[in-house]
Amino acid sequence: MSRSRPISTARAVLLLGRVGWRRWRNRLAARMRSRRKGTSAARADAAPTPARTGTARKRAIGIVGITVLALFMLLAGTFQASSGVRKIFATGQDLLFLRHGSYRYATRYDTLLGPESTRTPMQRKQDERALRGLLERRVAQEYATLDAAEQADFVDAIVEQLERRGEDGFALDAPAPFGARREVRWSVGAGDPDVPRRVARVALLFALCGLVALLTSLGGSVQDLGKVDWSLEWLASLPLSGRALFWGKLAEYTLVAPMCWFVALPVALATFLLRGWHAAALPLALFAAAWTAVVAAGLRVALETWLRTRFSHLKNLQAVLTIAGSLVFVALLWLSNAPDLPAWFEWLAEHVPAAATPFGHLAWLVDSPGSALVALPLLALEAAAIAWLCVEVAARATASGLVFQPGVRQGVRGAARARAIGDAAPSWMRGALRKDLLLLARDRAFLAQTLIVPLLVVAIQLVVNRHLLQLLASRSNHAAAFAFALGAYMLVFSAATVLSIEGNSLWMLMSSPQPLDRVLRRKAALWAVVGSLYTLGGCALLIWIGHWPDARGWTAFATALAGIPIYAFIAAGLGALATDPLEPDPQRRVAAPTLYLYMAIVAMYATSIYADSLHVKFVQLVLSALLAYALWQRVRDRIPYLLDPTEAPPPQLGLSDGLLAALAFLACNGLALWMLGSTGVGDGQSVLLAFVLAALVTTAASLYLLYRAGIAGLTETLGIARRIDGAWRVWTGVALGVVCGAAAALMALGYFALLQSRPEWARYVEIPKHLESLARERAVFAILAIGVAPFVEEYLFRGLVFRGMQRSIGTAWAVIGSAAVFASVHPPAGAVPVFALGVCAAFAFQRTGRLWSAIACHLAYNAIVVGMAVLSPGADVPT
Amino acid sequence: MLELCGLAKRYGDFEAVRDITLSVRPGELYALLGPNGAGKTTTIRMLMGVLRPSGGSARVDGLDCFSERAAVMRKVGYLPDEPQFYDYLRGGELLRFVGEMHGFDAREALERAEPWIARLSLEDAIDEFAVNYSKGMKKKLALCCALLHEPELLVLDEPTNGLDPYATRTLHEIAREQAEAGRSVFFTTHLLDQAARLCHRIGILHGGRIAAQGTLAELRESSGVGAGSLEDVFFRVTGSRAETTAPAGA
Repeated sequence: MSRSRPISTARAVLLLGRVGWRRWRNRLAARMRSRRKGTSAARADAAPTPARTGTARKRAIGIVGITVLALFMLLAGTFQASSGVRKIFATGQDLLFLRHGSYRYATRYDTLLGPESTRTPMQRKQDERALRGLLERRVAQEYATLDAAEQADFVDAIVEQLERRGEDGFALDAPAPFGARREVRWSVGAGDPDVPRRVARVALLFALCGLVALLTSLGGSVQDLGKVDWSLEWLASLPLSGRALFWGKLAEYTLVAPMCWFVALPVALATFLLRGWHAAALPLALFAAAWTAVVAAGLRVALETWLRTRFSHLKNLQAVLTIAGSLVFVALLWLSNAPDLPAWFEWLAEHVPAAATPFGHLAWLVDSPGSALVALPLLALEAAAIAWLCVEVAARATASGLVFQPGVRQGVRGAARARAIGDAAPSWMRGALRKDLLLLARDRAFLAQTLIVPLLVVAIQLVVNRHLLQLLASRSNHAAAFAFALGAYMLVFSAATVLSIEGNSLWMLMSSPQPLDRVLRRKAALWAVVGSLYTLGGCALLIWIGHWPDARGWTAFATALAGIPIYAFIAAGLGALATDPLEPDPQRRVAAPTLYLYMAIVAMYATSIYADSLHVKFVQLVLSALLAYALWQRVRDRIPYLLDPTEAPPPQLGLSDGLLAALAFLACNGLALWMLGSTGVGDGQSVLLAFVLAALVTTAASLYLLYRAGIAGLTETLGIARRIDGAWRVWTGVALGVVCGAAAALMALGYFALLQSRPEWARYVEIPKHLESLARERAVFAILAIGVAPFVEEYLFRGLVFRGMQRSIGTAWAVIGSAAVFASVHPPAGAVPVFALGVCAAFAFQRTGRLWSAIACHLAYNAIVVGMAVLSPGADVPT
Repeated sequence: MLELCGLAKRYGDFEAVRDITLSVRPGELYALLGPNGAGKTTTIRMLMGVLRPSGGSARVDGLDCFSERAAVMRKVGYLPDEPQFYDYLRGGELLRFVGEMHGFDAREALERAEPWIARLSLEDAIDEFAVNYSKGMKKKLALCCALLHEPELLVLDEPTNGLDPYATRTLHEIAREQAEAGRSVFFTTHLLDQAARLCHRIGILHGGRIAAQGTLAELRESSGVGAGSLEDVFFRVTGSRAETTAPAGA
């Protein structure tokens, strides 16, 4: 005998609505909590935490927190919305005087120039001239888009309005306390022809808000809209009628409607406040928002149920709806940020009968107090009718069952094979690359996420910051930096997800006989191409808006373009390192801080776009490429351990260690120079001191950190251990080093002699200013070159960089690679001989296994080359 | 073919698997049995090279499963317990993808897959997105993927879980054929009947250790159940319910 008792529909709706709201609240709270705790949350799982206490108090704090947050968002949203609503209320001449700047000057000159002013015509003339001067400067500053004649007309119009109507002729645009004295009047009297126009605009505004709410709620759910929500299927197993279920869904969607409560409510509040409804504004706005939520929820219930009966895959439609919703949202932002009422809004308000659409009916509330009183019960009735109708549609649509998912469809034999073989694809487009391209072509959500969302985010920036585009187009450097940022930003959404996007299907790649890092690199290469296209597009757009770049401009654009492929690999490498494939929540699979780190590195590269010197650009390019390489070395180390929750790769010396140490050295050196510069130590001495300080700090810190990391055989690898198997004895090693250094020095002297005999070649090598000044203080220079630099540079470039490279590209390439890096961070004048020195030192180091040998080589080279420079006056030879 | 030697895996303080030593010879069918949580999946994941053994080693044809994973995968076909596929890829496209990853071109991949598609009655579904397959269909597709490159070792994790009777029979046939062709099959299962009928040798995993292994006759002898079934052996070896089932075997 079952004890189940029937419950009323109302009770069911209440219960379902409450469950829905709790789910949403808990999700919000969980997200806030996880953000605060960060990674410690994972550790907390391992060790069980003591039983929680004081839940009631915590809940109270939570409710207060959410209330405060909600109030703050309501207030901020209302301020933002009021700027749009003012423009909507203003018509004709009013629009001109909404602008913040003109309003400020109008208030200042009101008593001097207004119609009630008692000043003599002479004084008024003077005041007018002063005002005109102020306004002209202000207008020229703010409205770069107007030509001179238009600016003059604008100033004329402001002054005339001020003289005719005083401060009353001006309305205020900037966020100000509501009900300020100078709001746009709703109506100047009975039969004001502008009132119907205002009503139409308000209707359009409400219609847009409703549309945003509906589109985003339809598109926003995580799962495929075409599939019945598992919770609905589960709820259907409870003893409730279909209608009660849909009423419950409607209640849930009404309560959990972020767009209604965070967009429609502030917009309604701003509208009613500026309309002058004072104390009645808040209840009216709450009514309007709830009304929007109910109607949107009803439409959603009916639409999604109906769509499910027709289609089983709606993910693509969902993506389209989300994008459409975001576009409408951007339009609303545009409205509140534009200087004037946007033309599209005016056009739509005139041509679209928004007042006739359901959401537009809310405009009945603004016309007059009387009409609002009549409209309220009518609207309530209407909402109830719409909700009832929608539930009825949903119930009818599901009369023959709640779930419509077809099983496996019957295919046609034979046709399947033909399709699957498909066209003969080119050899590069096979395997994982083809798979990704197919997914991109079919999965609109993936497409939107990778290709459209970044564009949309950038577009919002341009809309909100209305002068940005002009500013960017005005200078090639800005344009190139922007185009680079666009491509690099797009890579965050695409290249950084090369691993995380594999999700639960990673087993397929892991059980295929391809090294996973190679597969991932091929995927990164695809995004390098796409990212380059974005940057190219950005460059083209800004060149088209702005002007044809000069040689320097082209260099900036070329730097931007050259950076993108490198940054695709950096993003992919960082993303792969930050991905935890065992994390079940896709949104948390990639650690967000790593992506911020990526953006910081991107910003560093972007500064090189602005640099005048080609050498700076080149160094930045080389360092970035090296960083990409170093990251992928780490990725390769980590990949075998990807799915192992407990094991990590054994610590090894990597190229990244060398790079970080080199960067730390440069940073320390810069910091020390800056600090010494303000203490008044002499030029050359401070350079020397800074170098020594940076060398000591970097060497000690990096050695300590590497030792702490537990790298096996660290001192042997670095060539500084007392006993090294297979290494030469120290003194023989040093002897070989000296010979190698002398050989490199001879080559260097020959090279400089050649340069001096050919002045037209010397032109290409610029000697930096600080080195020139340094060369003047010869003693300091000699100590630096012979006593300090060889030790620290050999440790960094041979001990760390060369060894780090050697591990994965072999000795020969590592010799060349480390020498190239070594040469690239030196001034271009010495690049060729420094490269030779790098090769010789690496050779000596590898051959003898002793770092002392490389140091001896460097020392011998510097001694000979610097010695020659010191002895022969007039020759500038940088090391 | 497959050599597990003193294999162990620890998760923090928890020892999931301890000292597993077993070998599967070419042409042999080997079943790994054990209660839930005995360490079967951990063992399989180690021999698939996605978990690093805390001790001992797993080798396929002399290659280390962890450090030489890519080379090992050339020889191994793997059927996971619950295969997951990419959204928006059709069955045929997934087969092509796997084939291409094994170095076949599209045509060859499909030619290789075709007999398996026909045998597992997948023709009607091959043009459908694989995420929409039922569990059994996904498993059949994953089996096709595993057989595509004629692996020397088939690793099957609960292979008949979710398969219909037809497919179960076909899978048994395929496993036998593979063994007859000199390839090895290593699988885990809960179905004791299946293991008894199909396998040459059986290992019983209990509490992370191999509690017993050998042919059915050897197992009967070592566990002292006389002429009892594999079920009797299993309960005797794993201990927990030996008392209740002992009379049947005694």
